[in-house]
Amino acid sequence: MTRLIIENLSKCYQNGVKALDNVSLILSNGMFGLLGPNGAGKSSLMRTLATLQLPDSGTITFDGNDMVKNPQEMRSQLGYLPQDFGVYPKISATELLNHIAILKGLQNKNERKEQVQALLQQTNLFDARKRSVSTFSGGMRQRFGIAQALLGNPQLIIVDEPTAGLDPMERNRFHDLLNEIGEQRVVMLSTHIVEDVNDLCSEMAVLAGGKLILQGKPTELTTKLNGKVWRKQIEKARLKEYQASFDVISTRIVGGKTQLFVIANQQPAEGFEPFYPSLEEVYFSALFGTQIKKESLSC
Amino acid sequence: MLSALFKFELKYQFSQITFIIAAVLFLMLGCFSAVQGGFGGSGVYRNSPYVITNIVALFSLLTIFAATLFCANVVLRDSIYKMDSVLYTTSITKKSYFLVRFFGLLMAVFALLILAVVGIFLGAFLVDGAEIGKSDLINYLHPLVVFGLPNVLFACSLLFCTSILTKNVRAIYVAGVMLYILYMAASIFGNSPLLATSVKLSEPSILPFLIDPFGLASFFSETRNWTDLQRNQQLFPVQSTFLINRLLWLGFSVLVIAVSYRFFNFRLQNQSQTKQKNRVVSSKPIIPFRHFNVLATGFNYSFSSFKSQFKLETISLFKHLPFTVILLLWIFIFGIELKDNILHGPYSIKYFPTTGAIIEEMRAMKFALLLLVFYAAEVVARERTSNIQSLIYSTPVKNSVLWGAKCLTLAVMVMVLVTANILIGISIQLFNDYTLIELPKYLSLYYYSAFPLFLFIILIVFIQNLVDNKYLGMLLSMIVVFVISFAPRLEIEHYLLRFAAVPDLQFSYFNGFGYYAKAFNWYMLYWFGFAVLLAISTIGMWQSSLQITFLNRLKSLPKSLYQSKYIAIVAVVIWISCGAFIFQQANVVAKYQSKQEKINWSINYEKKYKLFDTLPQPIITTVKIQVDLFPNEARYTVKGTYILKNETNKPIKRLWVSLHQAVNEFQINIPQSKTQQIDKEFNQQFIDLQTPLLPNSTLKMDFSINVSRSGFVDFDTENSVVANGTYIELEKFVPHFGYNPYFESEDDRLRKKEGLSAYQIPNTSDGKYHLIDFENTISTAADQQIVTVGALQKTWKANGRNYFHYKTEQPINFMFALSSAKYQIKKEIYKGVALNVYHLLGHEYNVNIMLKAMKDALAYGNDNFSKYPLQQLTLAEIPHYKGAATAYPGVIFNAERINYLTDYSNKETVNQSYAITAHEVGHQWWANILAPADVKGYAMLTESLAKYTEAMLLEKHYGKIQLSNYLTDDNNLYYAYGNPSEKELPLAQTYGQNNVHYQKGGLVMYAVKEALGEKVVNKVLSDLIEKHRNPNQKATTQDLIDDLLKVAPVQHQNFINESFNQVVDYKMELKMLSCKRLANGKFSIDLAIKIGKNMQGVEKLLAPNMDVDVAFFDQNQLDFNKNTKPFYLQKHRFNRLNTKLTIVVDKKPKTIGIDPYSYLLDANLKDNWVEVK
Repeated sequence: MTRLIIENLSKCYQNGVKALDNVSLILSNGMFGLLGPNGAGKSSLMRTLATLQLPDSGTITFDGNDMVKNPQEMRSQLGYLPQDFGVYPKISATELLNHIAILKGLQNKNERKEQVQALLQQTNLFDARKRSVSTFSGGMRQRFGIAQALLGNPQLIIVDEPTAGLDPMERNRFHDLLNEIGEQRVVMLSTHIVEDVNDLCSEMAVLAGGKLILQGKPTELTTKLNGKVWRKQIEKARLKEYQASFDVISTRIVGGKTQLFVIANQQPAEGFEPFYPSLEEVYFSALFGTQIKKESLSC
Repeated sequence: MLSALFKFELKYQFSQITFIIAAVLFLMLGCFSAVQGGFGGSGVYRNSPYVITNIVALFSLLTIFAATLFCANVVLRDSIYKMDSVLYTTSITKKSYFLVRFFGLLMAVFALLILAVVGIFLGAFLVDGAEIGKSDLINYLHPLVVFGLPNVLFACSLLFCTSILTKNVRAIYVAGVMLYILYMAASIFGNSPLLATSVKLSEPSILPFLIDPFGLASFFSETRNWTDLQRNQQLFPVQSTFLINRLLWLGFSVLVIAVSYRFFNFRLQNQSQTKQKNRVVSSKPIIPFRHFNVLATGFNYSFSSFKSQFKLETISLFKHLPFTVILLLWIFIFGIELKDNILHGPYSIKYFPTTGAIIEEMRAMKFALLLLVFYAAEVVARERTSNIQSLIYSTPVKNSVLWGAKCLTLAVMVMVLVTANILIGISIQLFNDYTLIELPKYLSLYYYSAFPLFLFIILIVFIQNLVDNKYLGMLLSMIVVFVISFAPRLEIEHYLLRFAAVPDLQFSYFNGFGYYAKAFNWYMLYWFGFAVLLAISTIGMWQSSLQITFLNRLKSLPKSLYQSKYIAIVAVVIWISCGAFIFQQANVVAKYQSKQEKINWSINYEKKYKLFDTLPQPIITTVKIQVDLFPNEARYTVKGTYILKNETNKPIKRLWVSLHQAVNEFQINIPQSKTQQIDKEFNQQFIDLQTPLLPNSTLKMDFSINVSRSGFVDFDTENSVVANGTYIELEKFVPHFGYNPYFESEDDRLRKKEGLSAYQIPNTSDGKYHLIDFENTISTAADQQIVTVGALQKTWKANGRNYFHYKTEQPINFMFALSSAKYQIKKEIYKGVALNVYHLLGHEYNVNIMLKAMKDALAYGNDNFSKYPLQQLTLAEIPHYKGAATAYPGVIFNAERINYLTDYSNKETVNQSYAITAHEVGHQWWANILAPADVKGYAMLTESLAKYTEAMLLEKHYGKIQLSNYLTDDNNLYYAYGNPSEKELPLAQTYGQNNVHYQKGGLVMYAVKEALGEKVVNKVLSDLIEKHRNPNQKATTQDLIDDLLKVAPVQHQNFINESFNQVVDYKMELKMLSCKRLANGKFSIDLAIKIGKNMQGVEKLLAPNMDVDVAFFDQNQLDFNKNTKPFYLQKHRFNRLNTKLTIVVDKKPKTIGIDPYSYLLDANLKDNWVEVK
């Protein structure tokens, strides 16, 4: 069932950076992964979806409601974890969650209490619930951010690099939680970690330079790329040479040796071995594609 | 490396928007100050060294705020933008970092002062050439070096220290505000001349000059007596106390810098890790996470989100230590200030700390605006500062809810401050054993004090929301608040244009805040309407979304206006209709005039009417009027009849009737005459008589006038109609005839510009008495009594009103004020004179002592001057506005606070209720029986002689030693009230210089009495009355001086002559050389006495030629009480500057004094005394 429709979204900042360039997406329930390098426009897209900034052009509809025109309606169905956020000083975790829950419209006191307690437990903050959030460590604060994003009854959950700074255990815990609640709602997740998308998302897209360069289901995308990725171990000094003559999508150091990944329909040369692509190769190959077509970006 | 860093730092500082705005502001302020003037005196050049120094010194105070903003913005940028961890790992050393940041700050702040000076320089080009002196570079540099740099260094070092040690923005604000507050506290403690609203007479001490870190106390006190010439030419000398002050604070600043360098940790702040307590692992069962339905609409949602947000905001505000500190300081400062102003008045008066006086003093909380500006910025930008905005603004919370919660938080802060004020007031009352605490009056402050501030909250939040940058917003709201507070100086005078500004409310126990109270409500409603519009716009443009430009938000305004269109329409209707009503009342009914229009008015009056000056006019011989007062409607009407007489030798064909500006309507009726059009602008009318009024014949004239005194007119204490406590000096508002030279402008510069001749003091007196028979029937509200001149013939009630019929028993001067209030009456008969005291219930404290003063003064006057001519003498209490009392024939109107609400339980101080009453009764002779000719010096024959009478009565009833306290005060006040930029006139020609005819005049008369003896002086005075009372020629000062000289022995002639006809004072100093016990048990004391005479126009100290008292006391000066008498008191003749005296007395003195009663003018009385060890 289609829920979120993004059509021809464009946003250009005052300093001339084109953050979003004609982005169109259609999202249904479930988790949607957004990949892209730094400055690709992920956060801009998410902020726009979180009604915190207006697009220059394009429309966003959620369940048939035009978000740009009626942001207020959207906000009551929104859970948002920004990439970077602060908190009021001297306010405890419980108090602040309670406050945000009220702002989100959770009017019943008992329900509110239950949800706040549950989220504190789920994010493993229960023991620290009386401490002021401003004294939390980075990981704790991130978990607090997750908790507040899930408050209320959000239909669209936007989480911008949610697992940054979390230890592996917390990360798994969070993935479980997200997975569980993501079934009946739209969850958009941006990350640098391709693996996360692979594990969690049924749909994904890659943004680069404000443009949508790839979209699809992770499994389909990897399957599609199968047979086109080749690997070779080389001397580091010869990297330049290889880059000049092959379509090198990425390199990786394994055990001190440089491994080269090349995209090609047939074996590009002697010594290259076929490589079953992971989502990472899908991502890199997509980025590689834009690099070739890269034109000067301006508004 | 260092210079590159420094260059970068300066570039960064100078490119800050706050710096740019502050720079423009200082430049403009400098320019404006030079153009506007008012920093020196009329004869001082606008660019004189004095003026430049004055402006620079004052502006150096303003740099505190600039330094605070720059510190918060620039110095702390690394920790704010989290650059610190990067920075501390670069190769930059602690020393260079510290130096660069500090000097960057110092240069940026100092640059502002330099710009202000440039502004003064530029401003000088815009001023008329005559007011500009020579422009020397040194005049501009000297103040910058002497005041500018050290003061900027002081402010910067403290703020820099705070910022670098705490790395906390709020701590910097608090430090900035505290610096300012502490400066004010030091000024109050040190009796700084800058703050001295009332002249205080504490002993000069070096301490206040030293503890003032900005050196302003030294500047203002040392230059107080500078002449115009000095002000125009002299640079402020850096010497003695001032030099020590500068070095002291320079040293202090350096110390602060050194300390902050020593303790500055060039590392990251320690992360504050709250210790995890070893708590029992909570065994709470796991609650499964469930989603619940949300409803983000409806009243309940709005209310609960508002409540929650408000709770958070108040916690953030009040849980914060700096606020507690500020609150404590607030209590401290206001406590001191209030105690100072409430309890102590001139002549060491101690007032009762009445609730009324306290709330009047506390009502205007201008200081709170400063806090509001700071806290509004904090509160509005709270989400942005703590970077939580993306969490909050992605929730469906309404802008109006956030706006409301923030405004209410600030309103609560205002309420807290008002409450603090009330508690201060109550504590002061209790500490002074005053238990009459009137809670309702205190509670009224929550309206009168707080409401205007509520409106300001809405305005400041509006401004703060308009700009994205918190500091810029702070600066802008500071400017707006400044402009509103000082609007009249910027020639924005009308209250319709001054946001939430109201006239100063004066409290009286008659009428509360009555006079302006009604107008206050209207103005508040008017601004409330406007504030609602501001509120709607603020909510519409709320900074809820990130990266939405100002223009975008502006575009969303119409939509939000449309959404709340009903509220907006109601607000506009309120705003406009209140505005229209106020305009109608103030401008149409009350003929509002701006300051400039008033000046133009008097110029135009002179231009239009001066040429008719010679038109012969009649005098008034009989006044018979009927006055109807409507206290609750704030208006009165007068109907009546004059009998006019032609005392000129020409026939009068044309009558020229002139009425006071305050008269709204008038009508003149003379049978067989042709009245011309009334000149409404000037309230003048010509009436042509069909048959001319021949010399010595009389004419009857009927008239009626209407006067309305609503709170929309400037308060005139002499023409106030209020619900209770009406007081009208009616003789000023009834018709007069001919040209009134007192309307003329005295500003010679302006007169020259307008082509008028130089101002001359009017000399209209024909030297004759023009007494009148007076009869008045007055009606007022049913619960009120009327007091006016004449004898009360009868009273009656009719139409629900009280009627009073007063009639004079014999002719009086043309003076007939009246008062109307809910009076209690105390009556007594004294030697055939009916004494009445009309006072307010509860104001009985001093009534008996005033009655005693009336009796004593009547007895003294009857015995020594002439018989009191009337059968009654009435004292009537009127509201306390300014002044102490006014004497009318047979009636004295005296003000409530200084006479009725003053605490004289300390018997060692002079009872001012007694003194004032004695003084005013004295005027029954010195104004009413003997009226002086209306020429220069006339005030000597009224005020100086009344002061003399007052002093004689105090001497008789309290003893000479108590009187000496009072004379000492007069001596000090004479110097304190003197205006150094104006040439003092001799006593015999005194004009407009109160300290001459009051303080100096009283002392001179007393000194003359000491020289000639009481009997001789009083004989001269009683002869003067005989010779110059009606119907003889009025007296002049020369008549009195001639008579005194006639009876004076030759050795006193010179002293008397100089005292009246020259401007002289003395410089006396006493030293004891030795005190030896003689063989016969007596003591021989050698004294060295210096006595010099200053004479106006003579540069050097002259030798005296006069008698001066030398007195020995067997008590220390501190132990003097009212029974103290010297055991040796002798007048010695002095005619050299230095004299040695040897005096032999029976016992060893403890205190020796020269001129012990302090009736000779001496700027330093302290060195007239020696304590014998």
